[in-house]
Amino acid sequence: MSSSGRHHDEEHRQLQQTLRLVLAPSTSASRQLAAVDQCAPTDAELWTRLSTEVDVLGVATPVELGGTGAPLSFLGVVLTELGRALYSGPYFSTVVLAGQALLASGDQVAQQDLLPRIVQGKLTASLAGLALGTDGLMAAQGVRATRGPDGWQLDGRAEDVWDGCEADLLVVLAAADDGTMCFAVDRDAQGQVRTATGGMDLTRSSAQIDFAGAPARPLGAFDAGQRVLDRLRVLVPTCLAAELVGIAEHCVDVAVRYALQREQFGRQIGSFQAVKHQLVNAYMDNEAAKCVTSYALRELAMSSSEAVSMSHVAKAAASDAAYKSAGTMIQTLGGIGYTWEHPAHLYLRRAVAGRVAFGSPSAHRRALLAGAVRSGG
Amino acid sequence: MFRDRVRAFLGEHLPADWTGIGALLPAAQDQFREEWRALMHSNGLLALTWPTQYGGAGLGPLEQLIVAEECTAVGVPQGGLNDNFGIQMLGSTLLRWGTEEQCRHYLPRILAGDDVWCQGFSEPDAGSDLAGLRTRAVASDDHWTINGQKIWTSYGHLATHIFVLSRTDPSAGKHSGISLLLCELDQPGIEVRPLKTLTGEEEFNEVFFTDARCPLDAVVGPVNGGWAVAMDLLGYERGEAVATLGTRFRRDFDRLHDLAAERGQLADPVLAERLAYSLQRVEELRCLGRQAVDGWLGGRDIGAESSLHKLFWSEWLQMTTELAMDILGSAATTASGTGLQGVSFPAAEAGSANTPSVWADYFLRARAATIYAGSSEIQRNIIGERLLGLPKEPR
Repeated sequence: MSSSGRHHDEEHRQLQQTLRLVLAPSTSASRQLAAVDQCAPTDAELWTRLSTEVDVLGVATPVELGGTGAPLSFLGVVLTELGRALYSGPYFSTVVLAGQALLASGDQVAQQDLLPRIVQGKLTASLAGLALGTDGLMAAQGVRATRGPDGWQLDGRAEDVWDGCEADLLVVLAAADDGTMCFAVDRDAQGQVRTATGGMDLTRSSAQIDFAGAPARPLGAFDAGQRVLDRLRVLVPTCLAAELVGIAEHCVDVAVRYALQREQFGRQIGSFQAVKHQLVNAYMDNEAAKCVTSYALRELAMSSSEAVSMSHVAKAAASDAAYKSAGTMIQTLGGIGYTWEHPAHLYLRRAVAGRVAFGSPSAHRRALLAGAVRSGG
Repeated sequence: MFRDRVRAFLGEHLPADWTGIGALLPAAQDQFREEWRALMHSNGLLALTWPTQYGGAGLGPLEQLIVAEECTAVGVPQGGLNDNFGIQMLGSTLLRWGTEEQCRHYLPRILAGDDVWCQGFSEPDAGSDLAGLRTRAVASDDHWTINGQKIWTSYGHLATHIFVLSRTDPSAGKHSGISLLLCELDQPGIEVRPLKTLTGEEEFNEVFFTDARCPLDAVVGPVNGGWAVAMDLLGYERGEAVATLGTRFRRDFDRLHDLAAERGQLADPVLAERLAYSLQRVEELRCLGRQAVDGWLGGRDIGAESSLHKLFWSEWLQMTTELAMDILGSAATTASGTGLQGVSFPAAEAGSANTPSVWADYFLRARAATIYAGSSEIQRNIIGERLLGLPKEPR
């Protein structure tokens, strides 16, 4: 591996600082908990600020489609900061899942219609029709597309659609007679029932969507569905890794601050090696996860042959890191970390959910090992 | 381009069927190492970053990195066994702290192979707590008289000289009265005794000083100011290892993976998961190395981050050699025949045979990795205190 290319370190740092300022109010413990207890809807004001003031809804979108055309590493910076802040709005679903699916579809008409509106914060979206396949990784599953007299329509059930109830637009992967196809379904289209599903993660809403003859517009050429799937199978785990890195880093930050402030036996608990070494173990894994995620994004931006294996490494490492860091944070906080009023559990919940979403660490490791077999022999 | 020049040099001097130095028997390894080092030196590939007036190549960190990467890729050493002490540690320290006269005297002799250095830091009662050292040096008119004992002196039996961390002012504070002295080994006051390790090999030594002598001006940096010099010296320990260890360990992983496949063990889901995890971690290590290199070339000192690398790779090595033992089962415990050849530090040398006895040796050798060059406990303290800002343990 040789080192080359510009790394944008300074620009990344500036973006990170700006985001931290904008996100600071929503990071406060009381705000996070209030949002959960009251089931508050998406913070519309923050969404507007992200689109206008910080202009990050188009960070991975080409300039001609209204985006900033920045390299994928900038998307990584945004996702990490949103993870840190436990941001509950539809960024991942809109920008990563639907936005990147639209880009991969190659459907220029749809791109010109939809992406500028996404970038301006006027359209939220998500992706439906994905599940974990037999290899434990992303596969198109659950929805079937048929062509009727009035055009295409969808039937079946899509599970775990992030922000699925609220999304203005759904990009749907569905099985058709000629293979996987990609469709757009509007929020007010007939023949769909969107049901919110609760669960472990209290800061990201998810839905089950039942389609029964829902009218759908096909996106891209006949092979678009497969191309979207191929692209997202690499990109989505890498992007989720970037978010998980933010979760992981925040957890260790909170734990370290507490270990400096809390005193027992007349000394700061962070001076005990039993506490210190636990924090170091989590920190070491976080540093490695952050490092592999940033290189994975770089490989992906260069369409390098290592992008696939790096996406497996990144998702496995970041999932493990976030899970361990959240656990270490709660252990360091002691009793207070086990209370509802402390937001620690919100991070643990997000970490657990993110860990299994789009492929568990072991599924990604298996794929990594299988890839090593192929390249080795 | 410099990389092309290095590749041309390697292509010209290595046989076509070369697989790595690990394929040679120990005696042949020693001979190859010596000849190879001389060849590197005469081609200006040793001590890349030293100024030319002291025999170096006067190049920068990028060229140093390229030589390290290319040598690693084909499996040849970048110098002799003691060059880590002579070139990396002492040489770099002399360039920073030494007098012009010291540089002119010692540096060319290191490159020519006239002086071969080893390190006299640890003592029986001063390991992790290095500043607790008790070897004493007393100055008289024209020399220092040294009394005490050093231990864990790697390759001391191959050395002609030792740099000795000594207490030169016993009345000063723990860190204040220490000096770094340069001392010839071949004298009546010094005895070097080999120390057999748990692998059955003699890699370390004990060095006893009984009224040993060195010249009064053989002090690096200020008298009684040696602690800062020593800390600086330790910072040069295995500098570019960070860049190349990932590559070397990935090669170890690939060998283990081949072995598991050959023995039908990939079908065992538990072993397969452990192998997959080992692969994930070695890929993380490669990225950490790449990041350190990017930072290094950008002029950023990796500082306490080197503790993170050390902790990460040493634990990977133990985990993976333990996995090798489980993959091999009784084949590893009843292995006989040629084991791991040569010193292979810390990764197995390229070209090593992929046999149960090699892995059994490697497993045993890996027990040292979390102890030497700062134990894992000390590394965790350094990371916790310097990178996370946690308080020190009250002492």
